[in-house]
Amino acid sequence: MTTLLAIDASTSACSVALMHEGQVYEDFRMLPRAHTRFLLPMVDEMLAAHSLPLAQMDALVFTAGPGSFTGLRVAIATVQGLAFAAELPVVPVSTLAAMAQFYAEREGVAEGAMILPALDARMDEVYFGRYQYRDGMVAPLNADQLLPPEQVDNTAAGAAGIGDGWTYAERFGDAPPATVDQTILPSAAAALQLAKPDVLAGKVLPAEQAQPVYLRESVAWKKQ
Amino acid sequence: MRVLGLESSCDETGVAIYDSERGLLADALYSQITLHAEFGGVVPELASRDHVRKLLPLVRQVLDSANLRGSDIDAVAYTAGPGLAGALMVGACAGRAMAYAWGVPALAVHHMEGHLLAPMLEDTAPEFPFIALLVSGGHTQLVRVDGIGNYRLLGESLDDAAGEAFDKAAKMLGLPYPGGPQLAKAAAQGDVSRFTFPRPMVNRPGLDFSFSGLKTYTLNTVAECCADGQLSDGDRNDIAAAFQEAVVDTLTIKCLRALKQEGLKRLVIAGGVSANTALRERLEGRLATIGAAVYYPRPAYCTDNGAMIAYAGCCRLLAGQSETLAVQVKPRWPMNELPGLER
Repeated sequence: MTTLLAIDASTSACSVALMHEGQVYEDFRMLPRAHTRFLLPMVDEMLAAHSLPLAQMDALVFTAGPGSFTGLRVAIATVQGLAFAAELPVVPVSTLAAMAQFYAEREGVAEGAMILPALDARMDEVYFGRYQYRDGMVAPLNADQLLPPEQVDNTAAGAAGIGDGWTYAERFGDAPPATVDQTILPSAAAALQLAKPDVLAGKVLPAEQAQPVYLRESVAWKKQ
Repeated sequence: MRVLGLESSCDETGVAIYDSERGLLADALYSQITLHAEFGGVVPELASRDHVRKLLPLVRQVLDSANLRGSDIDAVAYTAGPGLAGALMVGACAGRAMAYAWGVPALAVHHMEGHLLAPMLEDTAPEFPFIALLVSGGHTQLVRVDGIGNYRLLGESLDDAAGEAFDKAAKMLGLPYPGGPQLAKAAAQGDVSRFTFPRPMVNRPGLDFSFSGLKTYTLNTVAECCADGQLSDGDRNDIAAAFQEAVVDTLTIKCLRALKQEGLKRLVIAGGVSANTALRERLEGRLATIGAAVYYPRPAYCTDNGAMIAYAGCCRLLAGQSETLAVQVKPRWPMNELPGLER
């Protein structure tokens, strides 16, 4: 049986989830600008509630991005510290994938359904992903991107648009799909589901390689 | 007690292990200077990005070099402020999480307390009470220190920190980043008597500082020298010498005033600017005439480092202090808010 702990702090939400003996438990809270104060207590409460020591985890799962730079680093620095000290491997999951997986599970979407997660990236850009649901898991059709709204290719028959990036929908390349839910956020429980096959396949990383995926690279800070 | 110390408040990632019985066991530092050089100053987002890359490799490095395992660490100390919020969060979150996973206490250390206690890592450590001059790119403060956590702010800069003034003046002189040490180098070649810069606030009572006027004076002097073409190397060196002289003189006058006011004979200087040779020599010379002594850390511990954080954390650990699991960073954190130690 796989025992995993997952952490997400990539948006104003913060969640910690545990997979143990085939069950998934999640503590999901809205914590704008307060992640540092609550994240570790949430981890501690989750483990204590199931009488599990950290060392008993098979791996630590985290949402690597894209998302709030500070939020990503709060979660990742925490995961680095936990994984290093407890000598556990880590598994990164795309934040956009975790949103899509959460949505797919909650809505019970049909096999082959298209899900288009988008997050507001500020600076008049969006993080945008194209995912398809197959065999209980969402999979990317192409890499997550950082784009001006006008360059977003949201053509997909019967797709669902999710996340606050869809506030820019009227500037996207195509008309928005019938279903848009801007309230969808990433979730640690969904990240667990996506990470499990990687853990079973041994596709894990050492603690040092728990690193953010910003998509917006440092070149953006030059000559401002 | 062995304490792992993590420093990530600005543009250096520092990690060290301090042992209350054996002293410093290992120390590693990664400086981001080259990363920020092309911007002419520290870019907070880039600093945070680098800390999250460098921290764990440095932790592994100090454990290896001290021949220790994680289970040998009795506590983790991290800088919780003051500093850049995003940069602080990296060291604080990682440090607190490590302590949790090892099942040991964590200590949230005040960066300036770290600097202030850094001379304690040397063989000739000062006894309490003493006056501390904290001079860096972010701070210029005179503090009366009666014991660990027992601090009284006597005076501070009302505008720019001394180190900040050094860096900005250096930029005006066309010196590469980081300008402070470069300016000191140029000053050593210059004629200190050609220009006379003002000594801000020395004629006013009190122990506060102001360095922003010196920047304007530097700018005007540079403009005068450039009137007949480019700034020559000679001009540059002479202006640097006059600028440094004014800062050193001002700091020295206020230090002497503080010692006299408090009736003390021991002065500690710490922070990046305390590595400045001209300042050290001037203070040593002037303090000797009144029978007072000046203490400072070795140059590597004048600037940001993990050793001072490990040491300060160890002092607080031995006094029974520790942090909860709720990580809090304090970009602004007055030092007099620190709890004292029961002795």
